[in-house]
Amino acid sequence: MKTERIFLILTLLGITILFILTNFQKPTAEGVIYKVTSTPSSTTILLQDNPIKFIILNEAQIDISKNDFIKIYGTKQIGPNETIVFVNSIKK
Amino acid sequence: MIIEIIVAIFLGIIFSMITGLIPGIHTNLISSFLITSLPFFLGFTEPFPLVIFIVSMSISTVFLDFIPTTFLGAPNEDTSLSIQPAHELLLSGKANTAIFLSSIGALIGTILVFVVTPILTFSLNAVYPFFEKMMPWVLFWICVLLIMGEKNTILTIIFFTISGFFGIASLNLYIEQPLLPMLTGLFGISGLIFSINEKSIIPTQETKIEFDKKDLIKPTIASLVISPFCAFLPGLGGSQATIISSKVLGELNRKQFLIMNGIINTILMGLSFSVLFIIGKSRTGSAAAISQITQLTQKDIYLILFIMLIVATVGFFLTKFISVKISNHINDINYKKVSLSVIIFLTLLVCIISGFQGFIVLVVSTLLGLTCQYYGIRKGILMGCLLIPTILYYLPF
Repeated sequence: MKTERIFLILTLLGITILFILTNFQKPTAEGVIYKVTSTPSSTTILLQDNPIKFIILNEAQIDISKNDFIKIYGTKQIGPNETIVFVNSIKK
Repeated sequence: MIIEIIVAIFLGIIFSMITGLIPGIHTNLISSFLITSLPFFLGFTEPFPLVIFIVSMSISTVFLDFIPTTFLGAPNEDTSLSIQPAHELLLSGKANTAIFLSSIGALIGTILVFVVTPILTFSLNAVYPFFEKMMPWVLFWICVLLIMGEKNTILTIIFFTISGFFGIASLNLYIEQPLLPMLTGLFGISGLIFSINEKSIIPTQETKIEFDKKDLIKPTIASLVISPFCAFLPGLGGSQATIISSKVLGELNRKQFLIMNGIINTILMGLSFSVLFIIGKSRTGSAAAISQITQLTQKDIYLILFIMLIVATVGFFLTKFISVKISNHINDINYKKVSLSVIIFLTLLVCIISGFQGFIVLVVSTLLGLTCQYYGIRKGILMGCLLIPTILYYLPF
């Protein structure tokens, strides 16, 4: 078999593995929403019993409100004073 | 306050040498640390010097980024398309020319930010809602532009679609800095492996710069027309802007392409601060960080623009100086060994930053980059890995 065909098959196999891996993702955090505050550039979410600040950038409309149970996927930034998570996606 | 601002500019340039010269260390990493430590830093200074620090670091990084892109073949999101022409110039002994052209473009880009900002100030609030709704269709036409004119249309569409699936899977893994393994594999490591197989040799690098002023005209006009749209439209980055500009104006030679990539990258970074002030949207990680520090006023924006000009001038000469220093020594080392060392370094970096899943993404992206190269398809088509997920994200259903 030609080299390029072997590479193509391996690539397709790799992408399939990546798709399988996406199904095993654990959320960065989950819980009941305590507070949601919005500005034109960002929305900040606080969860009950969780000191982490969850920041969503540039999302104009998010269909969430206080007391909703949500799963948050995002990138955690740990600093000396506080920990924040830049949110990639939210699932109810 | 003036002394604090000068210190912030100086520190921003110093940190840009880390974020610009070390592949994988992004300005967003430093900005995020600053945000999470904000109360600590505000104990020493007011918010505005912190803003200036981020602006200086971001603008200077745009310049210094061209060095690892050219010498190591290690791209970031915005320089990924310039890696091929830059690497070709390196292999013909003209790395200094490649870096000079990108830097002169970046310097012109900084000046163009002054021209475009007043136009955006008056028009952006009116046109933004319309363009935001049109976003998926604008991106769809960019995809059509990207595929059109390629020699083998069917294979190009196949690779564009595969890269789209790859992008969707990788971005849904929620790993740290997903673009690092994606773009490093697609455009960096795959290119290095290909060069090793081709037994490429780095010739003595010329210090003389080959530059024709006429090469500036086409890229400047194209960037001036296209970049303002990319500055406020979500989902359109430097690479996409470069694709549109090069398709709109017809074939650009390697040098013009590098100049244009330089112009567009600084325009996008520079305008992201103006756009943050005008419509409150953050188009870059740096603008997002600033939005968390303070609310910008019109006076702040003018000062930021002025400081950008100073930093860009320093960044231009700093990049030129470092480029000459590196090129003087690059012959002393074996290219194959350097390439292998870079591949190992980038792989370790991905493992540290993005973890094991990031490593798998890196392997797949490298395979995809190599397959594309073996089939003789232009690698720019692999930007489908960002375009397709973005279109899906902005579709209204």
